[in-house]
Amino acid sequence: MNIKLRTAFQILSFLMAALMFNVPFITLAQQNPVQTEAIAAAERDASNDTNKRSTRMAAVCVGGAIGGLIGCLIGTALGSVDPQPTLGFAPLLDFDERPIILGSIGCAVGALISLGVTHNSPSSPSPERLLGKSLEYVEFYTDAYRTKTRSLRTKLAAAGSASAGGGMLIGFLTQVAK
Amino acid sequence: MPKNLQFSIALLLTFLIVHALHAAPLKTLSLDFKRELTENDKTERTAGTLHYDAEAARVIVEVTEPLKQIMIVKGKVVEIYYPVENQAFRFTFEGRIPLPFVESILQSTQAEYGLTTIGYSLDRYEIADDVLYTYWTPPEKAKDKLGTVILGSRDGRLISAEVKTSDGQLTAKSLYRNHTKLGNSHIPMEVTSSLYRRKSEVLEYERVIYSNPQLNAQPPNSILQFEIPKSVTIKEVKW
Repeated sequence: MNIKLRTAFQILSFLMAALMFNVPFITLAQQNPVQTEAIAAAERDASNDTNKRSTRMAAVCVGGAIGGLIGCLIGTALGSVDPQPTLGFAPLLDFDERPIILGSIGCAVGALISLGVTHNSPSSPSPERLLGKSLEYVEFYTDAYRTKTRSLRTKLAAAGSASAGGGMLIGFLTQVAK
Repeated sequence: MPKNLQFSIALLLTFLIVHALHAAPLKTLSLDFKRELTENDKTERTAGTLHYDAEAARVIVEVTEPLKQIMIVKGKVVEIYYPVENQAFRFTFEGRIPLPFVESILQSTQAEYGLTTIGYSLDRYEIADDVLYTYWTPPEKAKDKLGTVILGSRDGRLISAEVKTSDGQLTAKSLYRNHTKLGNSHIPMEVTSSLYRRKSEVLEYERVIYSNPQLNAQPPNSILQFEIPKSVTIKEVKW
């Protein structure tokens, strides 16, 4: 009898523990369908609205790369001029640092171009997408759209800056290789 | 004055007054609408009434199905009010917002769909099955972004409009049917629009059926002066 009670108690304890462990997962599985639908639609629309400017996105990256490359090449070219133009940096910098400094300026310019272009490429949904939608849907949609758009813009700006840095590096390496 | 002459003058005046009424500029327009929007194999149905105030350049859309909602669009601001929940949103956009439904209807009544106003020029035309097709090219400075627009007209009424990308891909197509004469214009009572992805894959399909048109109603519908009640907390969103 005692053994049976102990067994039953153990089984019940296990079941209770399993239930407590699974409740959060059940809750997640039953996530508000309106929220799910709104977020999915918002992220899709934000991506579509941003991707319409794919040519500009490519230009951001190319512009950044060119900015960095030009900056580095100018720095190197100035470094080969005799007498050396100080550009206001002397006497703190020597010849070898000027290509890097100017390349960095080019990189920064490329990054600024990227940020400027992405900032001036606002994306916003058409109000007709919210027609006939519930209050809850509009709340979730709005938040998700803004979050997604911000994320895409940040990636674009980062891509432009990375391209600028890459351009600078290429320019520097070509000069070092000479 | 002979009776015949009196009758003739009365008839002429009546004709002139009636003509003047028909020639009256658009001040207000109200239409009931039923909209079906199909996207990703899912169809949504919305119904209600739209009210357009031309002087204020404002559209108020009263949605009755699937829920009660009032959308007010003017300039760069869209307000959405839920009368049942007594809550509202105010969205501020960076640029001017096309007026929902009304913009498409009004464009269809303008000569050349309003294309010449935005710099398009007529490239060529052809006639097939009593339909006049005109091909419009975008302004030089926008040729890398905008493509050709092809308009189809029959009996002076716009029945189709196709928009292509700068590389010749079809991006949007609208069909206008069941025209009703309102004032001097023929308003389409059925508009179907399709948006396309690459390779002509349909991204979105919309069908709107209008009914009960009211032009320059007297007295003007009070909804045209609608404002969100002051007691309502409005959530502000800037895009």
